[in-house]
Amino acid sequence: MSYYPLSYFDVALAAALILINAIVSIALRLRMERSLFLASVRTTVQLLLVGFVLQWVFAVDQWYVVVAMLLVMTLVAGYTAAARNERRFAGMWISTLLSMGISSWIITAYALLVVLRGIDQWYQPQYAIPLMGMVLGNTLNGISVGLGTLTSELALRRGEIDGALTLGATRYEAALPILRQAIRLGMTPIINSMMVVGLVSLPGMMTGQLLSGTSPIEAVKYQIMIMFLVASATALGTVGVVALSYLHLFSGDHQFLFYALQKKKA
Amino acid sequence: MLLEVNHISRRDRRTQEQLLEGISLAVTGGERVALRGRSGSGKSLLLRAIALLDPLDQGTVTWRGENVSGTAVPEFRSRVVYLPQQALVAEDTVEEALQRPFLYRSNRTKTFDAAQTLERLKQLGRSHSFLEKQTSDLSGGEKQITALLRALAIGPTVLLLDEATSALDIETTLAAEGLIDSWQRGKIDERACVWVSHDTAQSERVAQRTLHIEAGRLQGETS
Repeated sequence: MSYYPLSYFDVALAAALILINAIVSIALRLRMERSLFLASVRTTVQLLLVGFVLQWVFAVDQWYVVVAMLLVMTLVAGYTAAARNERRFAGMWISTLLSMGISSWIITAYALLVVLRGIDQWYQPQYAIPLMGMVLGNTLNGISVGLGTLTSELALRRGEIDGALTLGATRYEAALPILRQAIRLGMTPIINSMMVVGLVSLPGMMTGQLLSGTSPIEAVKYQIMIMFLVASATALGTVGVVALSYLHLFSGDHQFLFYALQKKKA
Repeated sequence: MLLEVNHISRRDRRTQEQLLEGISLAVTGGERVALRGRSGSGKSLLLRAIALLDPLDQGTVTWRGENVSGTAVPEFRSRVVYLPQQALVAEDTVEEALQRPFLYRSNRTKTFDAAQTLERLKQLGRSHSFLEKQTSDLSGGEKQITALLRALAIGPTVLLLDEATSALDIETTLAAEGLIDSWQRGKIDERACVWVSHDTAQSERVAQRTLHIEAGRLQGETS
């Protein structure tokens, strides 16, 4: 099987398809021309920039450069997961970053050191960066959903929690139904996608490998590995963020610190 | 001494407003105390503070001479039960709501006395079928009945009643006061209650002494 490299002219041919969106927008007066233009420019510029950075990281091929890259990716993922949340509390950023970092680094380390133990170097950017990227991207969703569910449910069900505490429940007993709900919802999307993967759509990474000429069975084996990495990292990350947030929102005297849970300023 | 509150103060964490300031009080077994003051004077916050439901900036709560904090708090709250005005019942049926507290570790040694609860229900003018009611169908008054029965079922030593009968008609209110009275008489040397009520007549009926609170400070006592 051969691999056909795209020239910039080929890419431009694909980019010309944006005219379809532009015609729709103008014909129906959707007033989307500006956002269409901005989106096209951003897609091109952002991906090209990432391409150059990756090209450089691959060329340098040093462990510290790869680790620095992974760190930046982790910070951005942690920030994104927390920034989306509707509510704030002291300790939210650290809880999110810690659970994002610990879960994704443990799972990616397992992938690089145990599953892919045959690769030349553990830090080989060809493996380390895309694996970490996929793990982070999915863990971000789990953490974001877990954190969002936890904080909104706690605020909504304050009376129920206080009710349990007044009758002698420990903070854990009072919060447990909500902790469970937050973790369950955080893990649901990845389980759903494990249910339908391959039936509804082909995952992006597998598509990429197929395009680059890898045999379907080889691509599928990689995809199966990815699904399990992502599922376990999501579980760790979701449990982590829910547990750490719980410890920030309930005191050692078994009090629910409702006042600590503030709405995000618009 | 059963329960002592020593110089407790609390500020609002956001506005820095002083909610409670230097409050001390003591409750002995057999006492019935009324707590009176205007809306927003801090009555509910003081009852919540006694049950250690909110973090305090200063002061302590002692139970039988011992400071209550940390792991001792849940057990303390199973003895000193705070009953809010808007009782929240989250379980599906009234019976489940009544049994829930017995699943908590601090109530593990206690058992749900169904016969006694039925007897109390009857005194409040409700029949056995009340237990099967969906909690989502309960009126405000029925929720207060459920909350009161639930609190009494775990056999508390002190009840902190925060307008806990405000949604009941006068007959049921009197019946509820009767229930609380007979609960207290069950162990008169030990049991005590603190009432917050806007209803002057109720305060006079149920309390031996009255504490007055204004802007988060105790203003004195009448008996």
